[in-house]
Amino acid sequence: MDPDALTLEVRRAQAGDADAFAALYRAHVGRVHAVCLRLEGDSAAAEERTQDVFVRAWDRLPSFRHESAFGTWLHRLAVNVVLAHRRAEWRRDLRVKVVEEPELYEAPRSATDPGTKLDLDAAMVTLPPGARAVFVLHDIEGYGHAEIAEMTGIAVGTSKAQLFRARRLLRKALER
Amino acid sequence: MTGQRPDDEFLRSHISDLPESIDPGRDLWPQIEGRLKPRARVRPWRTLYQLAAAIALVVISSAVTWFLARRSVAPVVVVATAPVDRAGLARLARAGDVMEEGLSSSYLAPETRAVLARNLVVIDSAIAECQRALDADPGSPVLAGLLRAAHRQRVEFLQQAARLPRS
Repeated sequence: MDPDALTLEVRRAQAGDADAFAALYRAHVGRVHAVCLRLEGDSAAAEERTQDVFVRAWDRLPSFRHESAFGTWLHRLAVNVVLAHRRAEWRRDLRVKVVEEPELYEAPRSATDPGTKLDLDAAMVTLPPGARAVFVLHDIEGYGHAEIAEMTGIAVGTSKAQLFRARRLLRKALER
Repeated sequence: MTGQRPDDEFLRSHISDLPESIDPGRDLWPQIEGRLKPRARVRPWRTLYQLAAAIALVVISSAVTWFLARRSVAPVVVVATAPVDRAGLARLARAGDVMEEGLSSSYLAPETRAVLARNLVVIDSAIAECQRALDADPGSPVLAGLLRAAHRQRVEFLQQAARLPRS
């Protein structure tokens, strides 16, 4: 969808046009689903969150001011929706397991048959949820540690430690 | 966002290979559509164009009325009429000015601004024309009525514009 057509669809959707919103869904669902899938690590949960994101977007569209690109706004909303859903779980995971059970992070869960070469998406699924969240937010989505700490409710140092572990585990998984 | 990519080439190359988009395994739109809360559908463009068309009609019919009234050869009937309410006209004009000032054009999309500007030019010229005619014939209730109608159209048009989504 070219930028002018996209702007028009956004304005129509803001005015309550569900057909225009369906066109926006078609144009953006892949990117939204990708970020949900990477943060959730599970396709059923990712599909649920993707639906939540678009329902939330519909509710919030009237207040969208066109100060950023619609895709950027939607992407940020997707991250926030997943974080809101998983925040409590990740916070517990990140705070408790890192401190008390660090060995949990040294053995990634097996997601595929032994001997199968993993791509990064598949390897990320093997990470513990909190470590995966920090890796996705930092290395893929480009958030800083301070932002991640604020978004997830953990300390900056914890975010850094999780990222270090996530990278190490991913390297191991990918080199197999 | 201030994050930095990992400094080792191995992970960085894997990250750059990641697809930006991954479609879900099924079409999620039917479920999403079922969860959307209905919103009162507003068609700002249609409303604006309809109002502009109505304004054009009023301006044209007013001009024709004024022209016919001025050229009328019918016997002049002198009737007692209420004096022209100049204070009321001034209040309407001021209300329009305040609304126009409040409608900061920087918040509107360029195409909306253009429609707004074009129609305000039409309305303002109708107001100016009626005002000139009233200045030439200060006691005319017909001209005072036309001027009042034009000012009201301006206020209504600006009210519609103020309800448009801001950019």
